[in-house]
Amino acid sequence: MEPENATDEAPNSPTTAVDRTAWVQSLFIQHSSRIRGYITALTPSLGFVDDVFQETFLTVSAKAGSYDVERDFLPWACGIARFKVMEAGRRAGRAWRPLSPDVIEALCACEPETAPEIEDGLLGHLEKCVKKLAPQSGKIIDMFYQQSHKPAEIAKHLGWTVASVYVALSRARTMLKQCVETRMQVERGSR
Amino acid sequence: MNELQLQKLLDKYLSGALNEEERTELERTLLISPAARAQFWGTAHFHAGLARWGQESWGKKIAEPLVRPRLFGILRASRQRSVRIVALAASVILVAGISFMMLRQPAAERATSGVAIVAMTADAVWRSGGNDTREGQIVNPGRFHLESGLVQIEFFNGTRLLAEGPADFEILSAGKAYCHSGRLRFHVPPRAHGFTVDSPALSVVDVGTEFGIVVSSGTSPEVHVFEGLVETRIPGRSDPPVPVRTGQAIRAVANAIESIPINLKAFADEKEITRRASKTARGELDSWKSAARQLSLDPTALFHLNFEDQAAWTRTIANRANPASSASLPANIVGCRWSEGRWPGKRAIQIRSSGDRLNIDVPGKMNAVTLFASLRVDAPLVGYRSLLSPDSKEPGALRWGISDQGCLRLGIAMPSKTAEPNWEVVLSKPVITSSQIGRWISLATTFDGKEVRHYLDGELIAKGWARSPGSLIIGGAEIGNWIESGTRQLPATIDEFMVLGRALSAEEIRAHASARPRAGL
Repeated sequence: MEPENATDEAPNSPTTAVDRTAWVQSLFIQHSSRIRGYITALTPSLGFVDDVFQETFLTVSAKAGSYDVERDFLPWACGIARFKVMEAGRRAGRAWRPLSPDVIEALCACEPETAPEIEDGLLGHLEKCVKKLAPQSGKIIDMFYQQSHKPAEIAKHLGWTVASVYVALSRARTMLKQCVETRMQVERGSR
Repeated sequence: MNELQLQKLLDKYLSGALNEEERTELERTLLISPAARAQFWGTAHFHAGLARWGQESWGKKIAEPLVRPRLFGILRASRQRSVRIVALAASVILVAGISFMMLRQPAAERATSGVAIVAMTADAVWRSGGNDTREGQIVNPGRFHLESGLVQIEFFNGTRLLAEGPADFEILSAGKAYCHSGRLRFHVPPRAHGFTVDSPALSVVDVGTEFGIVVSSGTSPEVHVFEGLVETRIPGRSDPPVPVRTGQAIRAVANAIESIPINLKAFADEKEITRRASKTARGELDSWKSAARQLSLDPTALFHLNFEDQAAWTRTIANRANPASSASLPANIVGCRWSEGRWPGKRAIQIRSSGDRLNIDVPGKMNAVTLFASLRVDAPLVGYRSLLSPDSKEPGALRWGISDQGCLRLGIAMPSKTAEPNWEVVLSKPVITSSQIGRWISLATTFDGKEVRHYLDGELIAKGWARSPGSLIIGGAEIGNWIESGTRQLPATIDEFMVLGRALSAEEIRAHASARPRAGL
């Protein structure tokens, strides 16, 4: 990221390239939870999400000069994130593959808004719901989501087949979703 | 495909378990069915929420004191986030003498959800004890007392406020400011229309413009419109607002608004603040150069990269430490790009991809050490990030870095019966947080053989006792990366790096860190 020439800036943008980069970065940080969620959805390997997120930030910073202040920031940043996911997928080779570009395009055209307060509420409920899981299910969720272990590694550690880890993960997710939804309904009812 | 079948495929996709046939089936369904795409997002958002929960709860776990006898369940030899930390933590099972001492609440922690950013300052002097107003600082609503100089604050909605000291003003919200006294100039882009500036005797609502407001005791408050339109009114009165257009000015006198000639020169503009900031930066660069030269000549200086006087094509960087010493080996650049440092014209090196690093060699043994780096973190840090990692794991080897939680960390290798040493570790509390991104900071750590001290921007942020194996070593080492790992690079721009064979005093650290950094990339 070489510094850009301040004199090229449009009159309505922040004063210099330096200012605009700092400003765009602060927007990124404001929306980081949404952008990270977006990358997580499109990167079917949790271990790579951090790297794609970081790459996205660097590219957003480098392209700050081309961000049009009149446009919404989030779709612009998510557009960059999308390319970074595909780029990382190409680099990852056999380790993981993103969905095909056409499918990602179609998906991104319809991504619904998720209000940040729901996300924050979700986290609080998840904390409690994970504790209610059966010990083995809780362990699998911990290993997959907290420690970013791959299903094959979890299987090896537990002495299970990989297929049974997939099934257990899927069941645990379903139970967690039901638990969170129930808690949210109760919360809404008590307001 | 029904909902249940699709859910099964989505679950497999999120677990990374799709085979080719299933992938084709899932992709085809997602392409043709809007309902399937909605189901994808419902499932994916929940999965992303779980991932965020996982990351945050993992963060809480590892932030607990490291003196617990066993930290985590299993170890894994691959590259991912958890294991980077697990491996470190496991190597730190013997961590006697760790103590935390926070001497100041990091300003960065408080300001992650602000409404504006301090974009530029020129000779700004603030009344002491106020909000943190360094360049690059994200600011929350609050009151600002600028005694002299110029400062530009940029709101997230694009509004720019240029204050000229002395000025006393308040940011009330993302779209509202209050001028107690002084000269403030505002530029409000179309998306921020409606931005309001109040003062004791005059209220201004922007309708798309650039205007200045001046408030001082003993004279009537004035509004000058350089471009566009504002609506003005006297607070507390029900009169209709008075429009003021390009080239017009008004003042409030005895509960009435009257026209006055516009004074275009009464308010500093962005050109002026940029010119003054550049002049200040040149002066700062010169004084830093002279201070850096003195440190290079310190008899205990072992290694000092100031990145100056280097050709743009060179792939080695001169070690300026103690030029009389024959041990002054240069650093070798691997992959990094040349970039600009704290000031215009200051050279720096940028670490970005996982291959980037500087290879150095600091021969010899020390009884005490100072590690110093001036850098700008360019991206959120995930996992342990290395400032300095020696190849050696011999007793006395020093590992310096930033932990997953943004803590400055020094590890000292202690003898062990296995190939992996026991690491004596002293951590600060989290100080390198997301709001530090894009801001020049200095980090320093000293160890006098008994006590480790960590500094941020010249201020002591933590100290803790640590054992020493007798002598300390660095030898062959990497700056900004770690040869053992795939993704340990520190995504940062570094414009100074120094190793001294003695523990600099707090005053010496403060003096060298006082070269004032500027913000931005």
